[in-house]
Amino acid sequence: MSEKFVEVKDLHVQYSSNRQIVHAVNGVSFDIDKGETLGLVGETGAGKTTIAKAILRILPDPPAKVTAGEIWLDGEDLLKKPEKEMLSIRGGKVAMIFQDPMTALNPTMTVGSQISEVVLLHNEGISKRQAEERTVEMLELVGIPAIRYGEYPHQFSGGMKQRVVIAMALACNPELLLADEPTTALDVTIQAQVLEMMMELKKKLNTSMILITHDLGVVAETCDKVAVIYAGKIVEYGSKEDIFRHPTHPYTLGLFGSLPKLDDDSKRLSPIHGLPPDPTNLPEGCAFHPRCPLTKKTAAHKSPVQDEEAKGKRAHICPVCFEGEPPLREITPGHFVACHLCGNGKEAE
Amino acid sequence: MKHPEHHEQKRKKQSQFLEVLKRLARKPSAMIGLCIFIAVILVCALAPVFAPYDPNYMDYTAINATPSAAHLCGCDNLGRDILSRLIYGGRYSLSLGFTCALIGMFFGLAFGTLVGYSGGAVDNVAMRICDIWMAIPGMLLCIILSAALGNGIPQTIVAMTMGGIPGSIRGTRAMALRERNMEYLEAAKAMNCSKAKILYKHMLPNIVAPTIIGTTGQIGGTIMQAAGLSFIGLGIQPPTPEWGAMCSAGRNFILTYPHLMLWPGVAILITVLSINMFGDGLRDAMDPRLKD
Amino acid sequence: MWRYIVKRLIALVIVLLCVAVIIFCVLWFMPGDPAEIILGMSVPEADREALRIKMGWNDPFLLQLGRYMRDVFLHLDFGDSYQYKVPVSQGFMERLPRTLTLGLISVFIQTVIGIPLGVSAAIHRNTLQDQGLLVFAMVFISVPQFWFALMMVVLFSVKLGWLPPFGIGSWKHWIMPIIANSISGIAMNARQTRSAVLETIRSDFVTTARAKGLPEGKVIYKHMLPNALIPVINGLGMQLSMCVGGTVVIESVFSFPGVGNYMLNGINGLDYPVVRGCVLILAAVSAVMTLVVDLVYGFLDPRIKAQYVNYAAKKGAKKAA
Repeated sequence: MSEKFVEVKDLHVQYSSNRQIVHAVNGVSFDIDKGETLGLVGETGAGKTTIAKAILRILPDPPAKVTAGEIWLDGEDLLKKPEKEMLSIRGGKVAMIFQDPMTALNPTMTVGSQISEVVLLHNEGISKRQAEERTVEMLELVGIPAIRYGEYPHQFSGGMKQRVVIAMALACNPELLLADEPTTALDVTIQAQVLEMMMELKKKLNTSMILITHDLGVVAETCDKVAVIYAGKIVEYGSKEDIFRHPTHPYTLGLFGSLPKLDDDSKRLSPIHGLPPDPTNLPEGCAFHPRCPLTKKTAAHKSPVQDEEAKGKRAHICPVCFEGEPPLREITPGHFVACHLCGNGKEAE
Repeated sequence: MKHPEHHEQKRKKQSQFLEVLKRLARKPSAMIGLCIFIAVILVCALAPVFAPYDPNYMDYTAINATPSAAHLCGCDNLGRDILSRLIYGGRYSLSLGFTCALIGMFFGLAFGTLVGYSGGAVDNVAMRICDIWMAIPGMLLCIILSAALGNGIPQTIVAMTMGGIPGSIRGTRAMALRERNMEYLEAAKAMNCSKAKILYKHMLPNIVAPTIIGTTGQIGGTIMQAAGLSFIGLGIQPPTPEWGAMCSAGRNFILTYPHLMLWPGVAILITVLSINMFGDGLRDAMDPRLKD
Repeated sequence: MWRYIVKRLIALVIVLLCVAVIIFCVLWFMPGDPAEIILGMSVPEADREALRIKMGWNDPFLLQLGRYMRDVFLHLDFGDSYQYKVPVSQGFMERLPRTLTLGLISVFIQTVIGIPLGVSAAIHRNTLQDQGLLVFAMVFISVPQFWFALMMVVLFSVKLGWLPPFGIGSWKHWIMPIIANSISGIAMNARQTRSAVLETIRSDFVTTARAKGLPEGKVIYKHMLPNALIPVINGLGMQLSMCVGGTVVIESVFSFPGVGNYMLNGINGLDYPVVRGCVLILAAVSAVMTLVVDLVYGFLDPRIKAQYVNYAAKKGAKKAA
């Protein structure tokens, strides 16, 4: 196999409810080296959290189901592992930091016992006292005094709770950390503290990380690689430099255009118009085409659509955009884009 | 500017209501419950049409007759047709259940919102009164009130309503308190709404819907409670064909003619079951979180 | 903590004082003349009048009320029963153990059967088992208790002859009253537990627990249930506090010699001391049980325990100010 530490190949996840099928993740592939951080960027509902949960296999089944794909971790396909072996991976080798610290902790258990629970679980033969010591160590590592070991989550502020969640995730020295919007629920100042702390811990433990966020600022600070997700697919994938210096896909450009810039003279933002697509009924072809400014621009230059059926609402869209799903093409080494109209390099392997 | 906004709001409200109805219509159990309940109401309301006999006509040849083609549910110890008595008796049981639940709801809404919204001393005093009121277990309070007031329909209504009011005041108050801390009330205050307007135009609509659900759930309980009261010799007494009273009268013949009290119980069971099925569906439809 | 308990106890006494006054007033309106019941109509009116004067029934309302309150709260004397001629407290205490046993066993059964049923239905939701439980619960919530009890009598006593239809004696006498008394409670507990667990299943902290690598069983018992059962235990507390006052109808069906029947006989015989005493003591019992349940509840849910602490702290702060 490859030497990559984590490799996700062609992952598909569906949710089925009430005769409707939601295509949450549609063929996502990426890989991460040891110690590397991959940022998953996209709008709410693009399927980012689903990808992370699929790796840990904690998607609620039913309604969610992984319909295709492989998830390789250290040479093993997690999707083929029996549930029993998954238990030792969850929380041990792979840990997850959840989005909302307010609800991610059990309100009826002390924070200390919630952390030592995971320590006890993944270190065989460890005594209760040793687990407690390890917990205290972890708490202090994230900046929580040891005396608060016996307190309950409701006695902590939001930022403190998020630290507890992080301590819990790092308690067993995971080799892969899945951080699902770890700072979204926090104040900006606390956000910076928590991020810095996470990065330090990560460096110390040489952990690989998947950071899920919709905040490009956070990505710029922390990630090595970036995957931009739209409607459950990767639309652009590359190193941080590729994405930030040469954003190519119109959606990525739109994301950057939605950020206010101080050094920009233009008075208005250039947001992406429209809403994320209905995942039960994705647009044909490229899922982004109804909102895509590029296809409109290109269509205006070219001759009008000949196809009778395609006239009307599709008049402003390049026919190629709803003809087929755009493949992920490599435009420069390591930089992939899925768009019919831009980046005319060769197709990705 | 004002006009389209108003229109928009109205449309949204309507669609929300429709959404609830749609969800309700998709629940087979709720629909079955509703149909049965409507049927029960119709049959009882149009009793003279549906009842095969006069409920008080005594046929001395048919005393304690077991069910037959002539008397589908048999006859009681005085030769009266049980089915006819059930149909006429349903009028008492249903109206008792509805009246008590509605009166309780009215008092709960009126005082609960007022108390919850006023807060402070008013709230404190009202809650202490409720504490005292609720210190006597509900059924006991009904029993002694019913004993003190005597038998009869108005007396029973008063006795049963009194037992339920403090609970409903408390429930509504809790909701009012929750609403009071919502931001839309702050906004209303900031727009210089009067107290009365805030109370009845902004707060009440948000409390009414859950209260109606609660009340629907209570109607069944009230019917059973009224029957229980009649059964132990209080509330409504024979010869009135109230269902509980019929059970009570049939009890003396339980060893020999159990059908005398079988059918009134079945009538209560079917009615209460249908109301509860509908009420459950309604609650789920209003609160779709628990749907799957 | 202690401050909280003392405060609750004081409130309890005040509430009971008010309850005593209310009951006295309510029964004042009860129609009928006890003298006629005690002596009958065969003796001359003068004898009945003499009894009324002797018992103080002709005294003004406030005087009688004051006398009653004094006896009850200063001497713990609830008066003598007109019918049985023994002190009410004695008659009550003779019967209380039976009612208490009936009530407590019922609550116990409701708990140990209802809650596991609800939990397993929620975990296996949308299966046949779940649907079956919902139907069962719906039917038994809607069935009138007294009627169900009598139908059991018809089946098990009259038709099959397995169980005695009424009275008290061997353990067999207890089976039907307990079943009749607890069946709707089982149904209610099962339903409530089911929806509480369903609500918790979706909580984030349950996902956190799974992400830790806990086996599913431990996720359920260690993380899900303690949280899901908080409202259920609250309901259990209500059932406990109601268990002695809620058996009246069942006692009447089975001629069960408990406090409920004692009170009903008191009502039918215009035996005011018995009725007042029963209601007052039952109110006291249920109030004490509510208090105990609240305290236990506080220990189970740290968020509520924190409220006691906050309360004490607030009081302290107020004092300091």
